[in-house]
Amino acid sequence: MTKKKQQIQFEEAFKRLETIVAQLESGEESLENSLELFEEGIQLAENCRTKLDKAEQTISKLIKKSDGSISLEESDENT
Amino acid sequence: MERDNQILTVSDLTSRIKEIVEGSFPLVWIEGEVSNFTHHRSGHMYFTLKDEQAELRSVMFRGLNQFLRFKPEEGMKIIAQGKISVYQQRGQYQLMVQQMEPAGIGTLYLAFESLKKQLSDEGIFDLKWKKALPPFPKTIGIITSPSGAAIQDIIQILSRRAPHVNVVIRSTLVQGTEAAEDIVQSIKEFQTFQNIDVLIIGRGGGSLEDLWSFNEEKVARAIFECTIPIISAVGHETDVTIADFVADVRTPTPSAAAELVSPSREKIYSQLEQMYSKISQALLNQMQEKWQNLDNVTNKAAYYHPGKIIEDQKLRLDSYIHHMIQSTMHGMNMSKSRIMGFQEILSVLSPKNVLERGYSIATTIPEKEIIRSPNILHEGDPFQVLTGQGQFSAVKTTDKTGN
Repeated sequence: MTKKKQQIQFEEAFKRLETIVAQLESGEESLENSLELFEEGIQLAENCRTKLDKAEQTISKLIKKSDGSISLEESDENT
Repeated sequence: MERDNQILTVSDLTSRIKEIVEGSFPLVWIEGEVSNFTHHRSGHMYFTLKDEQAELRSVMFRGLNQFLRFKPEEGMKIIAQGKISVYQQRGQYQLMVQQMEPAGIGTLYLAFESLKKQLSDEGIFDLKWKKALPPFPKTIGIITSPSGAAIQDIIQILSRRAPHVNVVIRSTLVQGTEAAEDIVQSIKEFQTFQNIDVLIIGRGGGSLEDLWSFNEEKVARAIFECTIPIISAVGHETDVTIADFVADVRTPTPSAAAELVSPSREKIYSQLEQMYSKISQALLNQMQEKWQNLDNVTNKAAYYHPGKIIEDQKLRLDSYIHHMIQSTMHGMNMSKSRIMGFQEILSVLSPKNVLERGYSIATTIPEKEIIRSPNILHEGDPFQVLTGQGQFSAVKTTDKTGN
């Protein structure tokens, strides 16, 4: 479940960042708001970047065990 | 009919036979085994269609047989469509073939068309049921044979292009009588497992029979009912299966599916860079615009009046922004270009820049504190004035407020 939570965060972060860019570029924000948005935007971009940097691809196999449960097994390079 | 008294000529009788026979079989579909096959110099094909108990002479003329997509052979079972004609001079009847195809495939093809129509009528192929692919999937599931070329291609592309995305493979039969059931099971297992953002069902090219399991009804329904978005990547570009119609997206090859489903990490990095630049630039532009506005106001006002108050506010604001940006940058790992972008903002805001814009800063002697209020100095006190091009000393005369 944590994986899914992180995924939502990345997507949300990215979308929020896009919104901030649009808002700042519109030039309609007050100076205080602009500064806040700017700060938020920088943090979000750093956040996204870090997630991308850190993520390591795993390749696994889906197997059904004899008891009927389904689980993952790490796979080697050549499936 | 008059029997005993009527004596017919051979021609008459044959003529009547011709009428009756040709009239009864203007269009037939027939299945049989090919024998005595000859492809004549003229281009016409002559052969016999037979089964255990009977034989039928057949011909397929050049004008029609040139469109055949296969080569009829001795012993081959085929399905032919044509009409019966009676050749009076020889007292023979034959089948004049208009269309022909190998028997196995013919049946399959009919089944394909029939199921396709049935499911289409049910609305299962309708666009409104198709789910959008997630733009940033975290985990991709793959239903394919572990030994085919499809899986190798897919993994290669995903590793290179989206190393931040996880891959889960469920080894599946992709041809043979048990394949359809296995494919259905794979889909169900992925759905139960959860945490899968999108599925690719793929296999390499093959004949209609090889790909047949992807035309089976149970597979179509399993794809339709699956809550995870599914990409169908079965066979080559020209192979179309029912799975392709039901799936949320169809790609011509497994490689194309891998490209489609994975967001390119390089591209995301580049987008993030762009957004950094954009917000820095936007802030910079806004600063400069606000400065410009204040400048305009200052220039219009009298020298001793609102001008000084505004200058003061500007300096304080700049100082605040300066600190804020510095603390934001602090501790962040940034690229050179990004740092340069921020430096540009900071330099716009620094006191030095203020001077270059034509403002002066008054400081006390000798403490060098910025004079922000007329009250700090008494009449006659000396002070220092800093301008963008140098400094000079000055002395306070009376101030207008009359202190």
